[in-house]
Amino acid sequence: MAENPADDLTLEIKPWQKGDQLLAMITSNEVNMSATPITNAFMLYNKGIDIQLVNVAVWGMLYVLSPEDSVQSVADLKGKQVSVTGQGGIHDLVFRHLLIQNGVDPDKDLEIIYLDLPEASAKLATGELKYAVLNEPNSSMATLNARKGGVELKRVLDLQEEWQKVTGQEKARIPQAGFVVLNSEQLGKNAVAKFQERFSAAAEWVNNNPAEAGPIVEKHFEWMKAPAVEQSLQYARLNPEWAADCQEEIEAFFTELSKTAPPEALGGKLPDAEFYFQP
Amino acid sequence: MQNSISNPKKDLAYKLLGVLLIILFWQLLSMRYLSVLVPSPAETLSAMKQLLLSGEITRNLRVSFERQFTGLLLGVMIGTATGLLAGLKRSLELMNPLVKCLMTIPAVIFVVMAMVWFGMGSVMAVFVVALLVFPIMHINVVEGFKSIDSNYLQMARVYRVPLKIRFQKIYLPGVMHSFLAGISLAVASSIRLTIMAELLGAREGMGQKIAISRSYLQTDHLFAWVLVLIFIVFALDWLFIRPVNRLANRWKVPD
Repeated sequence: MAENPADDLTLEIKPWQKGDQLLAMITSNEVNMSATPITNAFMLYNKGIDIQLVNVAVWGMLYVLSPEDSVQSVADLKGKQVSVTGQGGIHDLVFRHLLIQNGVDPDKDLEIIYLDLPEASAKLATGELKYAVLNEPNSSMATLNARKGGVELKRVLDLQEEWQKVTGQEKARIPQAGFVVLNSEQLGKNAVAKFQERFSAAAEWVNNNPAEAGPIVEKHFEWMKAPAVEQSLQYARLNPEWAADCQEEIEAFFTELSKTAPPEALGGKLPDAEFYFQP
Repeated sequence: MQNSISNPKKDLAYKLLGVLLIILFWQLLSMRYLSVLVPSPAETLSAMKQLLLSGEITRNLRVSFERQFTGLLLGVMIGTATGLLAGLKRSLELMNPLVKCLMTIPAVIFVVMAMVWFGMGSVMAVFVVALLVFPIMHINVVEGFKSIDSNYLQMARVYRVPLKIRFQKIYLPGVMHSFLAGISLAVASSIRLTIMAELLGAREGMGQKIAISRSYLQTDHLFAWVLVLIFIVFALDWLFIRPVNRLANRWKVPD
């Protein structure tokens, strides 16, 4: 999703599916703001593109889905086949980190296969695949899909909870995705502040009225079905906060993650303070 | 292709000039745009040096080369065999629709389907390469047969030339030229096909390295891999395709 707040904050939404589509939109000045995984924002910033992180919108919405109950901890995944979306992306990095910290070698002790959502969802529904790491709303879509075929999927592991166990911090969160602003001087602080205000209010409404939110989302993004959106909101941890207010938390998270993640996955290093948009 | 008025020295000079122009244009673009969009030639070379020293190039080249070679070999064998059959017995034109379909459908569709059928990795890549090299060889071998002067065949029939001699003196020289043209085309496309298959559906190999460089926005690495690819294609051209073409000329029937 990318948004274009103009004068009175009329938004034009332009969807993107892959990182390089987003890069193309950014370099061609097609958008003023964009939703993106935080790792992607790091990379863009570290590669010299004029972007700043405005907020973290969703926190830790990664789950291991399975039709079985046998897995209760990360270590239980030993010897299993698990699908992950997006090699080298934040799902992959977090999942591998948790495996390693639980004494599981991601390359030897289990089989990770990389599938995109439709494939993972189809294979979970047919029983061909038993474990998949999915984010919201994909996990909800997979759950509803599988139910049509009589398979009941459960969120057997919540990766944010696992993260808390590994770090020993019960309040630790995974800053997963948020909004960036491009060429912030051009857009102006006011517009960004307005956006954040409206976005937070909308997030609150959506969290309180998931059943009403579903059809609205489906109208804009037809692949996100209303029932999936409704279910998803229970698990998405949609809780927008100014990035500048959680700089320390973001840095702590990624410092921990870079113990196992290759530096190039974050664009080489943690960004400096300039990266965080100051309201 | 050589012709009578070409001057090898002058040709070479123009080719070198062409290379210099590409590099110059590239340098200019890189000065105009951020390095994440267009890395400069110097940045690309330093990325390449880094990839060489870390052993990544050799490791991934080997993986990709094995896939390419296996797929190429299978495709050439099958395509040549069916081409020979179709050439000898025209009724085997029945292969024609299949071959035409394979040539028409965009290769990326086969990659996507093969990923579903075989999963990610070598089997999928080899399958795609073989499947799409096959029609190239088939068509070229059949064309070779079609190019044979029918007078020779008639003469052979009239004089009842034994099959062995007919094969040696008429079919083989007739087909050899376009067979070898097919081989050089097949070699070049097999490289592109391997990279494409790996880009979408593999965990190692050059194509996968390109995909990862892309998702990490390491454009300098991406360019470095492409440069490696260009070197390989040129090297193959010099070391393999040209000698093969020279050999092919020996098979030319004297007029």
